[in-house]
Amino acid sequence: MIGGLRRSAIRAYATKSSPIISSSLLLSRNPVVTADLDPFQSQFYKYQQELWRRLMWTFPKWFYFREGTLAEQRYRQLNRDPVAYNPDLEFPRGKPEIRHRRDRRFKQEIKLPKTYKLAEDLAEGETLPVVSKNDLARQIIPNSRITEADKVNDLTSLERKLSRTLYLIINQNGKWILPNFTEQSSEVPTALHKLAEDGLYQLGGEKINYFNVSNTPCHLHINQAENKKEFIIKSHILSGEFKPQDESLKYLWLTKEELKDKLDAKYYYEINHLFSDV
Amino acid sequence: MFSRSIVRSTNSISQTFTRNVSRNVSMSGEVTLSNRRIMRKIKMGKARPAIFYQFDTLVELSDGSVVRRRSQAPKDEIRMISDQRNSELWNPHRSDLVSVDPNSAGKIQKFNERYSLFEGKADIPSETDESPKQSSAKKDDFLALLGENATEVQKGGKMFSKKELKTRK
Repeated sequence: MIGGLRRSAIRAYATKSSPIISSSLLLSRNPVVTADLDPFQSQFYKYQQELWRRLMWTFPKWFYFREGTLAEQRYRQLNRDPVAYNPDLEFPRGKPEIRHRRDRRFKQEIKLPKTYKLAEDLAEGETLPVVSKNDLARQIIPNSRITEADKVNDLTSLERKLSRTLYLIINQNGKWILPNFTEQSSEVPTALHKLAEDGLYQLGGEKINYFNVSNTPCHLHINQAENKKEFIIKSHILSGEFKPQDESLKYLWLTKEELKDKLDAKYYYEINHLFSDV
Repeated sequence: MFSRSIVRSTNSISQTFTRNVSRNVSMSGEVTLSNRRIMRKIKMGKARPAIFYQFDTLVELSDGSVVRRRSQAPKDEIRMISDQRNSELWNPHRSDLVSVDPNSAGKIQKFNERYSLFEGKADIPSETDESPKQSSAKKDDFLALLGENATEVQKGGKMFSKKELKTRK
């Protein structure tokens, strides 16, 4: 009898109240531009590109530009014929080998007529004409990979680090965590993914277009301190604006490396496989 | 026994590789070789890949994003006026799309702008700086016009018809 009592006492000590079931949101913003290349990769691609250029066939000018047309004339003005071989002359840099108006020894580089004026084509005293924004013939200039948010290091902007995946974290009681949502009333249980989706709207407003990857959670984190079971729901933000509904909300959009510094070390170690390296 | 089996197998191979061009019927398990192509062995280092000349092309999509790609056509800058970024087909949930008339900067549009007075029409405004609201209002206007008493305008000379001739008599 004493033994039985003792056992029950131990059991009562070990069992806590049933854990709170909650869902955490792993909201990511996928890369907008191609990944950054490291120096070795960029060198490799440059080498391959040059090899490719060297192996290219001669540009079939006769196919694209009909003889005697204006377009052909413009093309010929830009691309002068190379100097042909002359046995009476000395060529210190090697004999030119001309086939189809191209020196076979080198890669072919072709200049094309532009729809706008270039700075180098201007005569002296001339200035570049002002081009309107709606002019369809204006020059195409690729957008910068570094945005305004990168320049001022705005960690709350969705437009930072375009080549990386960003994740949303919020500050709760002085601790950075993935946004976690608990059910308020336990009358009718809500699905985990629904809980996370509603929570997202409460956090960042309804002007968000998101894509929920699955209704099934991708990870279970057991929060011992708060006696919580946190089911992590994976979701992507596709478009829209994340506008904090609560003014006091502290939130950040961070990459995997930055998350390592912000999140609790143990917490990060447990969930780091969910974050993308790119 | 071993040697016999080898002989048998070689026999079967020679049978399958007979050329049946005259019959023009392929039997099962039979390989017909084309007469036309003579296979030549390409020596080491002599193979040249077929790479046509390619330009590095910048493609600007209608929302302003720029993609870099290779292209055989002699154009190094391409500006898309209508593409997947402003097509309603690909963006069913967007209401702020502005579709630009692809002919708005072309020769025909220029001609129309210049000589619209001769046609008796009001001058055609360029559609590049037109908001979608305006265009929709215009559409309604046009529909209303059609709903009233719209009559076809006879532009050419009167055509001869037997029916009319009879009625005139």
